[in-house]
Amino acid sequence: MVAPLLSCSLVPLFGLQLGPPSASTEEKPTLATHVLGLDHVKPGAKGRLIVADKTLRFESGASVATISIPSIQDVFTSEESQELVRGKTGVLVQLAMPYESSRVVSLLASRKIDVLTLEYRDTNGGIHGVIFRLPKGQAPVLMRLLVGQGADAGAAPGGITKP
Amino acid sequence: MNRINSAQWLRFGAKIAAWYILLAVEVILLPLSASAQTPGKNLSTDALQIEAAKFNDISMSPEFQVAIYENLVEEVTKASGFQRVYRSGDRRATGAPDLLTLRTTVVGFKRGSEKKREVTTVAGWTIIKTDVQLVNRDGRTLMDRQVEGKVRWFGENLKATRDLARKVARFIRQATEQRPMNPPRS
Repeated sequence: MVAPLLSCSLVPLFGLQLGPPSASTEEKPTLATHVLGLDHVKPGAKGRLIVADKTLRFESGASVATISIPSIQDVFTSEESQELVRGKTGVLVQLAMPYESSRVVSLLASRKIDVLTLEYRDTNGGIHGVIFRLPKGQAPVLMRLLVGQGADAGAAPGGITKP
Repeated sequence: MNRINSAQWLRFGAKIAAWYILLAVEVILLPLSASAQTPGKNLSTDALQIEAAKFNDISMSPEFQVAIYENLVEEVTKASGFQRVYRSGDRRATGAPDLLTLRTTVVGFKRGSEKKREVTTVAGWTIIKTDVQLVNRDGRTLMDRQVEGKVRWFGENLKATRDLARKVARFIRQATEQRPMNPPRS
């Protein structure tokens, strides 16, 4: 009599699951900026990167681009520093600042961001490269997700050379 | 109430003028930096394959490598006049008659700093030097040039790859333009 009671109580105590864990088909989207490489998406477009069902999807407004994750041959992550005041508008603002204070702004106004670089092959075997900028700390997370869904993170012959 | 005095306006105006002069100098210097080593030959072909760039002993980050290749594909497709531009590894290129291949080798790279460019104005340039070759199916080199891509003042470092790609596309376009025949001497 005691044994069935004990076995029943073991389930909530140890959190045993009776069936296989349900696999999530879509991961939480990651905010990203497309630098270059995607067809029909403007360079500099801000959007979301979504990993779902062996597909990497970038959504920016009405533009959507997808990459099959098993076709990804190489994934690289790096960190860089991005100026906060940049572009032609930023230059004009800095020119208007008095007493050369724009140089101090250039020194101080920057932030760390992650860069995610992918290389993949299309259905004809042609090599494509894509670059995204992500908030700091997000690129390694996304790289693990991509590798987990079938992306190859090793250097392919004729592809990106590891520095 | 503080008012901006005329001296500050003059200083501001001088800065604007200096930036415009620097921009004009950059535009003038742009066509001179792609030097020709061998004269071009007229080509009449409509298929080009762009190989991934080679780096030999040059250490370059992956985003720069990808940016060089992708910008080359985009700019050459837009401006070279070829009807079909194939990427490296594209199986459709093997059946294309009179296919030309574009080979790029990076021979020099100086990664500058956007921060240094903005703070000092005169330092921090990013420069990419490449050897660019057009080769036919027989492996014969039809053209061989050294092309440089640069970012001098405005923009991020990756902009140097776009500058390089535009120059390469222009060089290919010039090489493939039809020139009129010279009349025979009497």
